[in-house]
Amino acid sequence: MSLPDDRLEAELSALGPMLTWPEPGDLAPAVSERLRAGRRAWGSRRWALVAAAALVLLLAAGSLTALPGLRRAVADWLGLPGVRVERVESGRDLPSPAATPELGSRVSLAEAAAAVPYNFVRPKSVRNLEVYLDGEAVTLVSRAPSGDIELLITQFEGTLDRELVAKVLPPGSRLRGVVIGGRQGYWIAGDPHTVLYLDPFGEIRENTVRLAGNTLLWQRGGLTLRLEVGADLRRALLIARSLK
Amino acid sequence: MDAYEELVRLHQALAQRVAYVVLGSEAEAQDAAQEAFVKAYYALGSFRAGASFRAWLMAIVRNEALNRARSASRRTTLATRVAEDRSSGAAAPTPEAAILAAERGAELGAALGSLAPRDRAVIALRYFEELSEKEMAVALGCRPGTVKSRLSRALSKLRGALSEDEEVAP
Repeated sequence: MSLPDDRLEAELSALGPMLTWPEPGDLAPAVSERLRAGRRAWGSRRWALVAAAALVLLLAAGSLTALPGLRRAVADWLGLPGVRVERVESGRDLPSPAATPELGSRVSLAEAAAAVPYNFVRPKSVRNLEVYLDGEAVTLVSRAPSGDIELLITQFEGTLDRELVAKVLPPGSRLRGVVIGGRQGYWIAGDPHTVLYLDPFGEIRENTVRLAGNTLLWQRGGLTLRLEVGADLRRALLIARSLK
Repeated sequence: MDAYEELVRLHQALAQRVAYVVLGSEAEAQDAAQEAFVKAYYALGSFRAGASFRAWLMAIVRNEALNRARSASRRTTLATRVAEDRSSGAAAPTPEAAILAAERGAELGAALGSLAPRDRAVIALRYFEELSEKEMAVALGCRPGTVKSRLSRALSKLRGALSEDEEVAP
């Protein structure tokens, strides 16, 4: 007797849940241990770079080797949890900016406060803030009368266990170090850039936030903050320091 | 490193299941999945953002498991458990239907276990892990157009194994 394909396919789909699957082991500690062992064997400096840049290289494969000066800088950025900054040689591979950035679902301030396990900060002087929630990341948006976004602040607990964000910088952008509240931060000005992040299903997503392209990245307590604003560094720093 | 641990935890059950179908051994499946995650880490540069990470990872898991299975043509039995009591709904099967379904499951599990590891992997990825055809192409390392023929070859071997069993049966 021979079954038609679709019948057999249906039976196979039903079979999956019926099989006695072994209890999956937690492989993460062993995998980490082996990667650390590789690091010892390989030389810690180089390894730190790979660890820092690995997920960024998804987009910018090869650019690190082409830019030796950048290697040290990437290693130095290890101090900012959850954030990876990398420069690409060409903007060609970057997706065009999304008309509406994916910010999450629109919620009220109170709903956001109830949903996240940390106290998020906001600019007290800005009225009519839109609040978006994406997982445990809160984004505050202020719009110009035209509807264009003029200020965007994203914050999340910057533990690498939860979130991975990477910025891919096209050649037209500039980066400089700044100090905010005694902590190292970064100012990225110029062309729009792409954000890479890990979604709850373990897929790597990317989006490009459409703004003037000026971004301030810094840490405050256990939070990592990203402020995007169509203004210069001086004003961005003023806003950053005014967050309560 | 911590971000990668997170990725491992999100995909490790899937990786171990696929390796288990290929290898038929829990311990070997764990070893193969662990090795695959280490290899995937060093190969991250070849992953293109926007593609399916799961499918990309499955290609590495499948290769690792097949390499380990190559040493012998292993026949394994993919055991099924007796259908659990699904008494919650009105659609609960009659005891007779449940027994028939369990028997058919055992038969299928045995037939699947008799296939070559390569064919088992194709079936596991498509029907147990429900990869789309596009993801299948990535996981099998073939062109999207080839996925159908790979699947249909595996199905026809499975059908052959099922009818062999029938011939032996009284």
